[in-house]
Amino acid sequence: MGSIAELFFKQVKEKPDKTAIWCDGEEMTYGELSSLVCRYAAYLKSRGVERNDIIGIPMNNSIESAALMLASAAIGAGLAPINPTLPEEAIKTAFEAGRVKHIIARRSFWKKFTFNGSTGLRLCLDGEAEGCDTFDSVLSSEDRIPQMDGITGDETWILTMTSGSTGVPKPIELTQNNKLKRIEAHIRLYDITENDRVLAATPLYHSLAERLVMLPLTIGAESILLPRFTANLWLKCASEQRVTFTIAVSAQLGQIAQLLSSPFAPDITGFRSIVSSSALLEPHVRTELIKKLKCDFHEMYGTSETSTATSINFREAESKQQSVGQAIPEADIKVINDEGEGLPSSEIGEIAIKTGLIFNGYYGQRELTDNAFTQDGYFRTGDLGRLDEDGYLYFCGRKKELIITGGINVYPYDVEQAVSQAEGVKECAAFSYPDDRLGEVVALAVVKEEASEISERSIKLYCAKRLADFQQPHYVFFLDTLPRNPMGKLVRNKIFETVRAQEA
Amino acid sequence: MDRIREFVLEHIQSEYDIPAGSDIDGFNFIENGYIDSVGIVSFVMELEDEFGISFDDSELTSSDFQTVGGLVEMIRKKTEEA
Repeated sequence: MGSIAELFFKQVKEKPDKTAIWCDGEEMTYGELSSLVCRYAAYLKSRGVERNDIIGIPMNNSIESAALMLASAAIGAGLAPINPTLPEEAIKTAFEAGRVKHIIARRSFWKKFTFNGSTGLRLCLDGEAEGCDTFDSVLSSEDRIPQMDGITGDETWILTMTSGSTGVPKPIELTQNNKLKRIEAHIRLYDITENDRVLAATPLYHSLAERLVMLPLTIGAESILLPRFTANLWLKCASEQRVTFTIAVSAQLGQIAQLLSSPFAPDITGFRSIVSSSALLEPHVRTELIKKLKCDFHEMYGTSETSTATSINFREAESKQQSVGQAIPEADIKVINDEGEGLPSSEIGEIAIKTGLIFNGYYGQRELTDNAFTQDGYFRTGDLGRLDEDGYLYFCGRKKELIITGGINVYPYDVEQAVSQAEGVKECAAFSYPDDRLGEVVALAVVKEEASEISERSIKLYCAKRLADFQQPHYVFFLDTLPRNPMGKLVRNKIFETVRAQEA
Repeated sequence: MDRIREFVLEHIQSEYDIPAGSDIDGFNFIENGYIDSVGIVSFVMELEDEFGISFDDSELTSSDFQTVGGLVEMIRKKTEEA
């Protein structure tokens, strides 16, 4: 198997003048992108980045980010891309967990961030920042394909940061070979060819967009990268760039379907296939999308650790409309009980997956990795589901306490830990609140200390300073007590009911 | 450049630059996704905190709140009234 960078450079040689990537009104041919990748790789090497080093980057969706991914692959270095809106403390913790040695970021980051753990290069992407190289240092580096001898593809390539339910980051480690296996599986699953124009419209610090951007670049197809998502921008981009394939998160597709039902929606005819991920799409949304976009429509289920594990094409499985599909050829799925034993079909239990697309482990956390698997090697997803007699999987909720807002995971613990330190808060609980645009948003139930004058506004302000954008509570409710079971354990799924009853 | 305008532009451009040659005052940062539905809560709270003002719901959904020039003017009026 060649490395990701080798596959890319092969395409560069074969079709240097073909458009490789489009983002935000700019595009580059394979030849032009190769030049940027080579300069980036030469720059990284000249500044002491070595094989297996980890580079931390608050990553936006840009051609430069895609070039950095390829450059780091070419020299065998790894990236720890993070959400740029994370608060400083969370970034520090994430970088420590990823043993980040070098940092690449925008000015807005360098202005407020001091991280003493990193001793390597510091690069500012937009203009000048104290103690940092400017992007001109990259652009003026040598444009020559780097020596890739000794790069096996088993080096750590991408660390995807999840906060973990206890607030400790669990960096999901993928090597180039892990990522390549996933790319190849998706090419087979969705018949993607060099003629496709593949849209990535989710953040590049998540594994979905990383895969969607790298996939076309390894087979000579075109990568379309949407920098910022709104339903309008998505439709405009899909129409103007004649997108043929994408995987989108269901919260995005809900907004897109709504816009498509308006009389002013553009006529989009280019799609061959769309895949919905993250949460089951409501049937009327799916019907609207199929009607308006006139293409194949798939749903998938998976996790960042396992990649896609099931798939369903709704044209071919009319009677299984509520299912997330059957296991893909690389995966085997079981539904298990708390003891890890398989359950008979139709019984609900935890979804467990054995797959050739499995991640390399939680970076530097052997025990945590081992505990995530059953004794016979199935990854415990923390999701609940059931299998029918034909092997179709039905998603039934989450075992883990998790809020998914616009496709991004929020661990209630992280929000609660921050808010519980605010003056006047006796206790609090974060919970999922339904939202038309994002599927779910974070809501907060707060029990005040006696005589506390804390208000919704002061809590939101407190959170604005301490939590990332996606963790912000959209609603704050004050309760006398939190719903608990007889053992005193918080019953999170009762909070929504409790606040609704209080409002009525 | 005055402090309000600088603060607003810096926040909006923390992840992406406004394209060169754009009419900055008329630039709609909501339609163009520079502040999205996930980020709007913290954006509003930071503006309120920085300038000691508050926005009501109708102001947040007004067209003025969506453009750089409109928002800067809204904040300016509020700080003058305060």
